[in-house]
This record gives sequence, C-alpha cells and structure tokens, in this order.
Amino acid sequence: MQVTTRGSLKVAVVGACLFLAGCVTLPWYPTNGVYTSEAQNFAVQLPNGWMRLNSEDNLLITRDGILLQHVTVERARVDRPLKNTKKVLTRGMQPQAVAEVIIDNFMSSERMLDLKVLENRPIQIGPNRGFRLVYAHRDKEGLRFKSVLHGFLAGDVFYSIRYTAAERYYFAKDLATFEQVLASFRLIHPA
Amino acid sequence: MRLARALLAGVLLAGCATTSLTPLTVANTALEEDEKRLWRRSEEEQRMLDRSGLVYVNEEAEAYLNEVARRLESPEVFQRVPFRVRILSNPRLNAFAFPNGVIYVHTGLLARLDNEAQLATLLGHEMTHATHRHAVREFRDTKNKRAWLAGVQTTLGGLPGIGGLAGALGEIGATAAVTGYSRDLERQADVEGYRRVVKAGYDPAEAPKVFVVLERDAKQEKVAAASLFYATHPRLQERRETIEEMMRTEFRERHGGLTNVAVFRRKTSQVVLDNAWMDLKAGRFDAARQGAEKYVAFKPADARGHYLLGEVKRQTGERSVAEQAIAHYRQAIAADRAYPAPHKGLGLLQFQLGDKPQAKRALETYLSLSPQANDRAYIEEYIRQCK
Repeated sequence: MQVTTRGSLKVAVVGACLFLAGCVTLPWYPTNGVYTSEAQNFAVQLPNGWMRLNSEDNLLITRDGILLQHVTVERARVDRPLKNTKKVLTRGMQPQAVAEVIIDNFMSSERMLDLKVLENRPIQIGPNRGFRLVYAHRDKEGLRFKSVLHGFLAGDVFYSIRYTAAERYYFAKDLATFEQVLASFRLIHPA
Repeated sequence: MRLARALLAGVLLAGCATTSLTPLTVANTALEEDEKRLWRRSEEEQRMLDRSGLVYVNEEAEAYLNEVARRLESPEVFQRVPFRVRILSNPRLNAFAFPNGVIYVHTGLLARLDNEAQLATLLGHEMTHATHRHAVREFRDTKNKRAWLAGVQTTLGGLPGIGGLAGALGEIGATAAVTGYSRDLERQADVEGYRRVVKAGYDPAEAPKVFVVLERDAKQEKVAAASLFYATHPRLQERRETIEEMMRTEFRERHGGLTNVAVFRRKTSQVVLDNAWMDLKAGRFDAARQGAEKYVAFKPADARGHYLLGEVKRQTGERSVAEQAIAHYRQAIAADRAYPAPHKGLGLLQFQLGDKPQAKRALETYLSLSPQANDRAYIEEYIRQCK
C-alpha cells in the first residue's frame, strides 16, 4: 500500500495525539535487569534480550513468543475463584494441599489436554514453604508442552513462578535461564 | 410480478429440497455431495479428537455401548451409517453425534444413567440425528456456510466451561455437542429415537427419566444460563412431556420391557468411579459424592469407592463431616488392608484435626505400603511435623 507524504503526516499526527492522550499503550518492553514492583510485592532478575508484558497481577516474559515459551510470575488472593475447579485455597494451607488444588485446577481444564504430573515435591522459596510441580500437557492441535511451576502461599496471597515451553527443543533451551529467574525471586515485604 | 413469483417458487423449492431429505434408514438412499463433504470433515475432526487425550479409554464399556447401539438399528442401516459409539472423559452431561454416525457420550452423562433402557434412549436420540441427516439439513439452512462454521468456534470459545470443549472439537463437532440442532430437529430426534428404543424391546417408562437426570443437573449446576446445549435444545421439561405423551398414546399398550440393570451396572461401574473423581477434582462435591455413593452401592466390597467417599468428605474441608470421612477411610482399609491411599487420607485428615499421633501412624503405614509414592517428600514432612 502506497502512503503519500501527506497521508503519513496525518497518521503520525493522529498517532502522536492518541499516544499523548494515553489511548495507545505499548504493552511489550524489552527486559532490563531487575524487575521490581511494589504493587505486586516482588522483585526478580530478568534475563536480557527477552520481552516483558505486565498486567495488574501478572508478569510475563518471552524470548521466542508466548506460544513457544514463556515465564510468568502470577499472584492471586486466596479468595479469588480458580478458573477450572470450585475448590479453593485457604490461608495457612500446607504446600501439599495447595499443590493438590492447583493440580486439580489444571486437570479440570478442557484446554490442558492429557495432563501428566511428572514431579511434585515440597521446596523452600526464601522463607516460604512451597512446592515444585513439573507437568506436561497437549494443546488441541496435539502439540506437547512442558512446565515447571513453583508456588507458595504468603499470607492471603498465592504466588506462582512458571515456565512453559514446547516440549521439543524449546523446553530444554531456556530451563537454565528460568532456574536463574527463580533463584532471584524475592518478596519485597514478606508476609 | 412474474419474476417475483418465479423467485419465490425457487426459494420454496430450495426449502423443500432441504426438508425432504429421505432418512438413511430407507433402502437405496445415497448421500448428496455436500453431505459427503460434511462426512469427510467429520472424519478429520474425529481424528483430531482421538489425538486430544479426551477420549476415555475403557474397551469393555465402549464395546457395551456399541452393542446397545446395534440393537437399535438393523444391519442394513449400519451399512449406510457406520455407527460407532465412543466415550469422552468429561464430567459434564452431554452426548453428541457427528453426521457420519460417530457418537460421543460424556462420562458425566453415562455415569448418571441407571440402566440400559435409559442408555438406549440417549443413543436412539443421537442415532436419529445421523439417520435423519440433521447436520446437512442445518448446514443448508445456513446462508453463509463458511461464516457459520467459523462463527461456531468464535462464539463458543469464550463460554465458561464450554470454550475448552468447543476448542478441542472441530466446527461440526462443536455444533453437534454444544449448540445442538434446531428445536424441530431435536424434537424429531427425541420422537424417532424413542420409537427405536420401544421397538427394540426396552421399557418405555425409562425414557422420560433421562430428561429428569438432565433437568436435575441443569438445576444443580445452573447450566441453563451458561450453556448453549441446554439453552437451545427445546426445554427439557417440554421434551420430557413429549415422551410422556407418546407413552400415553402411541405406546399405551406397552408395559414393561428390557432394562438390563445388572449388566449395565457391571459394564459402566468403572465409568461411575472415574467420573466421580473428575467431579471431585473440579470441586463439584455433591456430584462427586453422588457418584461415589452409586459406585459403593454397585460394589460395596470395593475399597476404592469407600476411599473416594472419604476423600469427598475430607476435601470439602468441613469439620462437621470429618467423622464420616474417617468412617469411610476405615471401611476402605477394612475392605483392603494393602491399599495405601485410605491410610494417607486418614493421616492427612487426622493431621488437620490436630491428632498428631494418629496422623503419624496412618502416614507411616501409607509409606510402608507405598514406598515409591511420588508424594513421599510431602508425607515425610507431615510426619516430621507430627513429632
């Protein structure tokens, strides 16, 4: 499509106005060292050369595209209903019980097909007792994904740090990077 | 004016061509070109579904369902429509047929039925969709086919509890499974399906009970507002009343018939147990309890049913039912002392209740019976906390 100089100017002016008015947002940012969010109450060292996307309670980073691989840090109050199960998390739950609810939530999803839990064990995340899950599932096209999820309860908030990637090639490729992200994760104000 | 009349005649003729399709139950009826394309597309969607991991693997139950389907139609019709019944792992109450006669029944619906006559009612309905060529009739009634096919997925994708299933199915499967057919076609499937069931010698009085099961579930799960399946099918009560009216008129001379309760229970008991676990994972505690109780009624000596009942009670997290949970775990242990799971359930519950010596004993028994347990690390941590 050919765009005239006058047309380009118009587009640029309209674009600048929208941007200044806050109507246009640029949700993706290149990662750049430590990510700190007082509102989300966590800090984490992000790898260079990835792209970052934020929402109110979630942080998502990816290098090759979210459909192939991504890392998320999510936080949710325990009273927020889970997507696929009516089971609930409660303050003070043991890590085994929290992991059970999270697994059942995944198992009840009609989007995570043929889900298999490969590893489920207790771990320590800073001062918090949590759990580590490794699981695999397929999407509707039959593509297999593998995920590692570390989760814990801090007071009334459930935190999870998760790496998901296509099982072939991509999962192994960035697993070490994810482990570094994981090791750097800390709560700014521990519960 | 003449042109307008000619156009109207053309439109009416096109309409007649759609509605006058001869059922495939009639000898020498051949598929039409667009119908053949729908069948080919159905086969592709079924291959996708087979790869999805949603198909419930239970050869005995599947063979039984196919045996019941064979009683409902003649071998000649089976040559024209190669009916095949499969089961999907899904606790929602549903069943659907592809135009080529492949029928999928959800574990959730199968687990709620009580006998073979009710199963035959369900299969008779779905088989009618295929023999009476409902998919191609519905397809022809839609002006913009491509937009319709795309729209089905887009519309369904965002619906809670339905989007995932619709995503795993293709467009034809999603139409059959979720949106259903028009009110008239669903009514025809009810009426013709019921006739097949009675003709095959099943008890006519069992058919309306299938609708009672669906009505009860719709009320319990409040699905009417969320699910297109219930919303666009004729109202369940109306459908039940249609069948009851046929009982009083067309089949007034027919009393009693086959129900085959014992064989039905034997062939489907594992489905009931597995589906109750799915309900429990989804946090539908009432449905899980009903499934577990049904399984225990079928197989009172089987420890797995008692264990599941214990888990349902424990996982509700209500202290008032803790004693009942303990009683169920003890029944499971009495039924099979070498079965590790109830010891774990008992230990976790007693830990929650603060009875640490009992919890420690039960959890240690669990580990001794299951030394390779994949949750060993958790259990050892609980045991440490008991000291």
